Amino acid sequence: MPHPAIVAQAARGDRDAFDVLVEGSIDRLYAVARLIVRDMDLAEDAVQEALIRSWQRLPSLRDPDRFDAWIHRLVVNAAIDQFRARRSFQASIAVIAIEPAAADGSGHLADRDQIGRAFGRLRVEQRAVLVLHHYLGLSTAELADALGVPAGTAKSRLHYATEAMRAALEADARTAKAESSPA
Amino acid sequence: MTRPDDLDARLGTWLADEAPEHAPRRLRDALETRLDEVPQRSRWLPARPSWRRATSRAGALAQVAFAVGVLLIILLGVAGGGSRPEPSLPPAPSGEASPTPGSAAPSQRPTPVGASLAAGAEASTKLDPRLHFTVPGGWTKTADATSVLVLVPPDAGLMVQPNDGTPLFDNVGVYIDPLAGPADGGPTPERGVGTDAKALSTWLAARPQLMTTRPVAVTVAGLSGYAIDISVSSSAGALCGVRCVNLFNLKGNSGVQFGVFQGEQVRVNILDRSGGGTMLAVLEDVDGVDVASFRALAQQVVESMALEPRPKPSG
Repeated sequence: MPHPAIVAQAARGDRDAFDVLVEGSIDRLYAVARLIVRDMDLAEDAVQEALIRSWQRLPSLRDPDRFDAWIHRLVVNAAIDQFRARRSFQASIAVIAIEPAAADGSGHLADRDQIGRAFGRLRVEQRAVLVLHHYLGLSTAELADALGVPAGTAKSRLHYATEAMRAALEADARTAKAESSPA
Repeated sequence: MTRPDDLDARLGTWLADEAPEHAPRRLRDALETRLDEVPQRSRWLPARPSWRRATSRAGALAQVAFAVGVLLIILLGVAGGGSRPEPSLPPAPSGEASPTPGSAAPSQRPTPVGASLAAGAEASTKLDPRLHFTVPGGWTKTADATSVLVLVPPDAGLMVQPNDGTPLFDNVGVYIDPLAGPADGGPTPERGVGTDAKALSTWLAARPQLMTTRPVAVTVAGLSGYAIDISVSSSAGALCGVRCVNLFNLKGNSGVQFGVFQGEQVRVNILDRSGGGTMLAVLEDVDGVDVASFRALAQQVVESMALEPRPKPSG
């Protein structure tokens, strides 16, 4: 968490102070955006938009202690916006199916592929919730703050995102099993 | 088959493996460039219009403007350029002169944030093209970006934006390459409006949301153009908590817009730059109080302006 004095200084228009905030957060924000949108260019656009907005709107942040939650919210919203904006374009591009990794017992890689495929099937909002909770390690209360929703709503969204992930994994396993069964 | 009890751990591991360690260099570079272009809103932009409380139609318009992070609202000040425009606008009807909770208690009165300027000759550092000007003592430079320069006099009039509480001060502003902006603060410039001084001043004078004087030919900073006095008319929507009208979007998608709030008295000098493009030299009295005094003070600064010639390309 950045020192509140730095945040306050940046909110008064100090670009050097804001640069300190950027330096301390840009890697983390880029990782979050990249995990949510799963695209390098979209993630860069999202982070850039979020940080520009944060610079513009920083004076409206009443409590400097809330900077992290606030910037997380900005980057999540920007990532979702970027994803949705690009979606219509992507819809016209043929999707190349990725073959499931062979169930050869080679463990880790196959598991990674399976998780990756299931995660990719989630709605972007669900991915955002899971990234904030499982990657950034936000608690339910912190998740609520970052999403700008009540704690109960955040808990519910986390629950449904997890269930969707589980369902996607199970569907993937069923597909793999059917394809490996003799005709 | 998925084992429910280890999903959290598997997902956490996978996310950690997938996450890039560093942001790309080009992202940092692009951000640096844009930050140089974009002013912090507290200086002269409202953080957001409070249109969401308006009617559903206005609310929809607000969503558009808000999504782009826009609707600026400010800047046109006062004092004409080299030759003065004709009589200023009639005073706003009573009840409109104080647009907002314009006056804070003295002990809480905000002060402009920026670089204090010594009396004498000064020059912009980032505005492109570079601008030389002279100020009396006590002025503050609250913005100096590629396309925006804002100078605030001592003891400047104050208006507190109704939508977000951001303070605005009487100021002299310079804006580079303005385009006709939609009244609702949308990101797309108005189609069919030219970009030279005559086209823009003619367009402004015809806008139903504004009360304006007839454009008058002026010369400022060695540039020819037109001056026009502007205030918000009763036809404007109360999109910012009070009536307000966006006037210009700056070229280059910088996110900066310039508009006017109800109660402001603004004089805009729209100037044709040699070699193409336009420039605004704006005198903005934000509270509409003691306009003549502010204009007299600001006019000295406007008349001292001179653009630095662009270096001729070698060869």
